[in-house]
Parts: sequence; structure tokens; C-alpha cells
Amino acid sequence: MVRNPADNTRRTTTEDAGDGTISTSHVPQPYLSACDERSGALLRDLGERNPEALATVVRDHTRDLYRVAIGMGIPAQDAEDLVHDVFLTFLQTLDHFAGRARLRTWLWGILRNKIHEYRHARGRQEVELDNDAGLDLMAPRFDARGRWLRPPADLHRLLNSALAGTAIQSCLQRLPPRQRLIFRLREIEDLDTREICTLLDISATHCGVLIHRARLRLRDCLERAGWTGNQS
Amino acid sequence: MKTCQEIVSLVTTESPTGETMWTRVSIGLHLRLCTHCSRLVRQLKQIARISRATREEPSPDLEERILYRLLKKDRLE
Repeated sequence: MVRNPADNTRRTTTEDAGDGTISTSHVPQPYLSACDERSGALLRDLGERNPEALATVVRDHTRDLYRVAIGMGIPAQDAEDLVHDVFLTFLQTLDHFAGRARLRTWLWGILRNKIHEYRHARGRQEVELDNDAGLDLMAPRFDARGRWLRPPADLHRLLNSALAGTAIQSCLQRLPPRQRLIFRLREIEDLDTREICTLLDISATHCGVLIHRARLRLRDCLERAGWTGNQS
Repeated sequence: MKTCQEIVSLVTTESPTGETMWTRVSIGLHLRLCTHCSRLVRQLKQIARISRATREEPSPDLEERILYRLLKKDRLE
């Protein structure tokens, strides 16, 4: 059963909300794709295997489905096959869908199951829980009154070098798996936090904490790489 | 007045309910005055930006390839 989250908002800003926060601002607004707005006629056409209707759904949703698959750690070639299989299953289960959920939510639910099957078929574990639950990476950097004891080092040299991308990828590999997954989905694939929570079946609060840990742990790894400078 | 530790936690954690207007103003003011916190936030933004730039874009004809496979399969069935 695909859960229908109350995610009728969409991400409208990315990094800079103007007040220095790096979290996302959500402005409530209809979150219907062009596809959903005409879903009744579209479903009827899909049921009749109308190529134009199929093309509309594929063009509207392929890229996002592919990004989710990549963000979930599926290799590129397999991700394309998975997305293809999502549409196949969608067409086969069209009668069950019948417009009961947003098309996007329905397709993502199918993708989630496909990824689960993919991992299972290859004997891969689902992404396990983090082993650093409860560990506050930043706590030792502050005194009892919450003031900096060990301020962030200057990363200007590293972040402005040609090797910045490689260094970040290397540190990303060292993150606990679930933090790496969330960082990929949120920061690299640019997915909405609520959609990530639904995809991973975790609470919004837990999701927020994992993103917090992933960001700080990644930065900490870069700092420990030793490329500190003095002109941030 | 929020401490640096609280500010770091607020700017890196995505609250499901979002921050109140007062909290956002408070964060903005703190970051204007605190070089350490503003440095951290600047670095985190830069890390996110660089990470996103490393993203591998799917090939431009991805949709058409998938559509072709779907239509071909439909014809065979």
C-alpha cells in the first residue's frame, strides 16, 4: 500500500533563505503536475494504451524517478531499467491506482518497492540504522554556555580548489550509510525533505536530525583532511 | 538571545514545522554578528553547492529511450 503523505507543498527555495539558514522554506501551494491536473482524462487514455498519454507521464516523471534511484545508490544503468520497470508496473496496476493518490506519489511508491526488490535480489541489505545515534558531533566544540570552544577552521583553500568535489565525495563515502543516503537525496538530488521521509519511511523529525548529522559530519571530515587556510 | 550551539543546531536541522519568524530573525541577527557561526553556515552552503555540481545528469534522451521500450513492449504483448 502506498502511503499518501500530506505533502501538498513544494520546495521553493534551495539554500539561501536570506536570513542565513540553510534549511528549506516551504510555501503551501498546489503541488499538482500538469499531468495530475488532467488525471481523469489521462487515466482513461492510459487505460486505452494511448501513446500520447504514456508519453506525457513518462516525460513528466522519468527524470525525478531516475534521480531518486541514483540518490538511493542504484548504479546508472540499473536505475534506467528500474525506472522503466516502474512505468511497466504502473501500467499493469492502473486499475488499482484509479486516481486515489497523486500520480507522483504512486510512482514513487512503486519505485520504492522496486528498489527494495533490487536490493533483495542482489543480497544487499537495506540501508541500516546509523551507529552514531545520539552522538552529538558538535558538542565538544562548545562550552557549557553554548559558546565556541573550538571554532570551525577555515576551509577556503580546500573548498576553492579543483579537488573540492573529489574531497567531498571521499568524505561522503565515510558517512554512516543512512546519513550518506539522506545527504545525497537532499543536497545532491535536491529532493524535498518530506518526500525523502516518505521514501525512507522515517519521521520528519528523524529525517531532520539525520540531515543535520550528515552536514556536520561531512564538514568535519573535510576539516580533518587538513586543507585549512586563513582567508575564508 | 540564542547561543552559538543553538544557532548551529537550528541552521543545520530541517524542522518539519519550519522556524517561526522570530527564530529566523534571531538566526539572521546572530549570523551578522558571529564570525564563527557565519563561517560554518557559509561553508555548509558551499559544500552543498559543490556536491550538487558533481551530480551526474541523466542523458538527454532518457525519457525517449524509456518510452520507446514501453511502446515496443506494448506492441509485442
